[in-house]
Amino acid sequence: MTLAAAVFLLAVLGASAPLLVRVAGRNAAYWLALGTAASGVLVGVHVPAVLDGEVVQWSAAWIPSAGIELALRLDGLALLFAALVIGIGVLVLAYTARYAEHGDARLLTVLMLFAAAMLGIVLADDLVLLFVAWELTSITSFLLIGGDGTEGRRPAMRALLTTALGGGVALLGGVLVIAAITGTYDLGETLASADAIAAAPLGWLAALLLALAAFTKSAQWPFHFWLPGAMVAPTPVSTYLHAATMVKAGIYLAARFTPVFAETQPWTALLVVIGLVTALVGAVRALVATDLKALLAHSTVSTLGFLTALIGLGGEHGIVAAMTFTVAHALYKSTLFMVTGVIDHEAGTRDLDRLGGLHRSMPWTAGVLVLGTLSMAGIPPLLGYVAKEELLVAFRELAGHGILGMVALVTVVVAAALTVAYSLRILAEVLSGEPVGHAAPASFLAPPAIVAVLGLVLGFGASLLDGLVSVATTAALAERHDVHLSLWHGVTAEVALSGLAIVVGVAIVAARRGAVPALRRRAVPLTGDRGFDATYDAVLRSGSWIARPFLTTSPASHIAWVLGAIVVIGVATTAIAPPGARSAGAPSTPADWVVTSLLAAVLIAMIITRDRFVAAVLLGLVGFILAAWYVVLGAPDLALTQLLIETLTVVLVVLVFSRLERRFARTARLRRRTAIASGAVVGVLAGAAAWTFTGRERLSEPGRWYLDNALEETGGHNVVNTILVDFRAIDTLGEITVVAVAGIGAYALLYLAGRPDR
Amino acid sequence: MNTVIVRASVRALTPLIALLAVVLLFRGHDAPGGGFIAALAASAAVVLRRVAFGPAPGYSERRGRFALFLGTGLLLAVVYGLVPIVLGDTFLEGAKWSAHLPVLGEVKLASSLIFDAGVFLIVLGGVRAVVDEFEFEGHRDVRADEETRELHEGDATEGAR
Repeated sequence: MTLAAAVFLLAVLGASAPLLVRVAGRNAAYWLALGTAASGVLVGVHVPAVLDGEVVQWSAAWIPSAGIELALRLDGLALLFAALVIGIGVLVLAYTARYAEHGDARLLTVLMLFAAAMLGIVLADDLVLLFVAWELTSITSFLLIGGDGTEGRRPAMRALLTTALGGGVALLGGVLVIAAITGTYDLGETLASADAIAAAPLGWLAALLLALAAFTKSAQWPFHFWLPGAMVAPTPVSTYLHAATMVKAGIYLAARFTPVFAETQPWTALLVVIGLVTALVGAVRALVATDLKALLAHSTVSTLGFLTALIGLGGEHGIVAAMTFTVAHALYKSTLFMVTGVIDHEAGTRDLDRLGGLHRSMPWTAGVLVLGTLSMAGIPPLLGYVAKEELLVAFRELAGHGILGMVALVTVVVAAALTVAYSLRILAEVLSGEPVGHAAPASFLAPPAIVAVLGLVLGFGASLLDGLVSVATTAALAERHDVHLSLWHGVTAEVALSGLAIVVGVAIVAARRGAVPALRRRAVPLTGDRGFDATYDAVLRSGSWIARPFLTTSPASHIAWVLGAIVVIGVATTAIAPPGARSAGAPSTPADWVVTSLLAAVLIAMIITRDRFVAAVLLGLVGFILAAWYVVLGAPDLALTQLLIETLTVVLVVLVFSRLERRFARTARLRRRTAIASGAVVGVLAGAAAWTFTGRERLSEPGRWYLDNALEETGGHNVVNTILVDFRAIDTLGEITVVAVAGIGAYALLYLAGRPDR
Repeated sequence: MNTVIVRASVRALTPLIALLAVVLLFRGHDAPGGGFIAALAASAAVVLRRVAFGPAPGYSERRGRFALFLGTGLLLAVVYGLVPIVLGDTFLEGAKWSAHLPVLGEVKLASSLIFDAGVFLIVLGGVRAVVDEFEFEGHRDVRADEETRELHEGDATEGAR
C-alpha cells in the first residue's frame, strides 16, 4: 500500500506544482523536494525487509478480465533504482529552486509526473503497467526536451520517435509475445517461467524486442543520437532524466529480464556487442566535444554502453559491476551536470575553449567539479574507481574464453582510457588560463556538492553499498549472492589495466592540441541524427504525397471522394447482401408519409434556391424534421440532441456565410449537369441501401435487457441516460476525452489562423 | 447582427437558457435531458452572446479560458470513476440514494449526476473552444484593434530588451 502511495504522492505533487509556484515562487521546488523525500520514506519503510531478502508486493484489480493488475513489487533490483529515482530527484529539485530565476510551473509539474512514472517502471509487477509507465516517461521526456516548442522541437521529436515509437512499441510487442507464451502478465510468474520462454519457438523474438526497447531507451548505438540532442533541455532535466534515471530504464529492463533471457542465444551476444560499440562511440564523441554539456551527454552514452555490455555478460561479476556502476554513474554524472549548470550561470558559457581558471574565480565549484570528474575518470579513492575495477574484473574473466573475449577486454580498456582522457581534458581546460566568472551562492552549489561528497564517501566506504548491491544482484540473477565491495583488492591484473588506462588517458590529454582536432574531423560520421532526419523527412514527404488529392480548397474534389465511397458501399451492400440480411420490417405508418413528404418538399426548395442563407436554413429545417421523426418513433433524447445540434450548426454556418456573397455564383452548364447527375446517382444508391437494411425491427435482446434492468440497477428512468452515464460510462469517458482533445485542436487551428505570422 | 433588438433579447434570454440547461442536466437520469443535451442548450446561450456582443472586454487576456471547462470536466469524470475503486468497487461504478424529506417527499439522488456534470462541462468547453476564436462579421474590427495593440506592445518590449 505504501508503495502505491509513494507513486501517487509524486503524481499529486506534480498536479499541485502550479499552485505551489503561485504561492512560493521558485522556492516551490524546495517544497516539492520535501514531498519527494516523503515519498522516499514511504518506500524506505520496506528497506530492512528487502535487505533481508523479502519481496514487498501490492496489487489492485485493474482489468481483471484480461488478467492485468495494478501490481507493484519492491525487491533488491527495484530498490536500487527506486533509491536513485527518489534520491537524485530530491537533490535535483533542490537544485532547480536556485537554477531557475522564477518558478517554472510547467517544468516542475512534468518533472514530478516523470518521477511518478519512473518510479512506476521500477516498481511495476505487471508487464502492461510496466509498458504504460515506460511510455509515460517517454512522453514526459518529450515535453521536457521540447520546452516551449522553439529550439527543442526537433530534438524532442527525435527522442520521442526513438524511445516511444521505436522502443515503446518493441516493448509492447515483447510483452505480448511473453504473455502469449506464459499466459500471464505477472512479472514474478514471468521470471519464474524462464524455461518455458527459452523453450518456446518465439522466445528469441521476445528477447530481441525487449533488447530493442532497452537499446532505444538507453541510447545504444545506432539509436544513441537522440540523447546529445536532448541536451537543449534545462540542466535539471538533463541531470535527472538524461543522466541519472530515465536512460537507466533500459538498463533496468535488461537487468530485470536477465533470469529469463540469459540462456536465450541472441541476448548475450547482442547486448555485449552493441554495448561495447556504444561505449567506444560515446567515448570518442565525448573526447572531441567542446561544449561541456555535450561532452557529458556523449559520456553518458558511453557509460550506458558499458552497463548494457555488463548486463549482457551476466553472471555475478557482470551484474555486480553493472549495479555498482549504475550507482556510481548516477552520482558523478548528476554532480557534473548540476555543476555545469552552475558554471554556465556564473561564467556565462559552457564552452571548454572559453572556460578557464575556475579554481581562482569559483574555488568551491571547481572543487566539486574535480571530485565528479575524477570519479568519472575512475581515479581512486572515488566510487567511480570501485565501479571500474568491477567492470574490469567482469571482462578479464571473459578474456579467458577465446579470442572474442580478448577483443572485448581490449575494447573495454581502450574505452576506459578514452574515458580518462575526456575526463582529464575537462580539468585541463577549465583549470588553466585566465579566470572567468565569479563564485556561486552556496544554496545553488549545495546539491551537486552533496552528491560529489557522497561519491567520495562511498569510494572509501564501498562496503556501505554491499547490502544494496547484494540484493539487487540476487534479484537480477534469481539466486542468492553476497557481495563485498572494497576500494583496494591488492595488486591485481585489474589494477594494472586501470593504471594502463590512466597512463594512456593522460598521454592523450597531454597531446590534445594536435590529437583532438584530428579526431574531431574523423568522428563526424558517428553522429547519426542525419540518418534519422533523412528518414523522418522522407516519411513526411510521402505523407504529403498521399494527402495531395485532398490539399485543395475546391469543395467539389473533397466531396467527390465521399460520394464515390457512398456509391461503392451502396452498390456493394444492395447487390451482394445475402437475402437474410434484408430487414423484415413492419409496413410504414401514415405518420412516416407525412414526414417524408415534408422532407421531400424542403429538399426540393433547397435545391432550387439561389440564396446561401435560405439554403442554410432549409438544411437546418431538414434536421428539425428528422428530429420530429425521432419523436414519432419514440426517441425524445435523440430528438432533443438533434434539434440542439442542428440549431448550433445552422447558426455557425450562417455566421460563416455572412462573409460570402449572398447568392450562389452561376456555374457552367456542364458542371451543373454533372453535379445533378452525380447527386441523383448517389441519392438513389443510398436510398436503395437504406431501403434494404432499415425497417421497423423489434426490440433487440440487449435493448430489452436495458429496459428491464435500468431502473433497478441505476435508479434512473431514462434508459438512454443510464446507458451513457452508468452501463457504458467508460465509452462516454472515452468520448468526452475525444471532445476535449478536439476542442483544444480546433482552438489551436482557429487561433493560428488569426495569426498568419506564427 | 449586433443590433439593439438582438442584444436586448439575448440579455433577457441568457438566464432563461441557463436555467433550462440546469433543469435538463438534473432531470437527465429520469427524463429526456442529461449532460450532453444540457451543454448543447447552454452552448446556444454562449453562441448568442458571442454573436450579439462580440468578444467580451479584455478577452485577449483571458484567452484559452475554455480549457478550464475541459480540464475540470475531465477531472470530475475521472475522479468520479476512481472513488469507487478506493471504496473497493470497480471503475465508474455508480451509487444511488433515496430519502424521505419532510417537504419534498421522496427524493432520490444518483451519483452519476457528477459524471454527467463532467460531460456537461466538457461539451460546453468544446463548443467554447470553437466559438471563442471565431471571427464573426461585425467584430472583425474589434479583433483587429486588439491585434494591433498586442503587436505594438510586443514591439515595445522587444525594443526594451
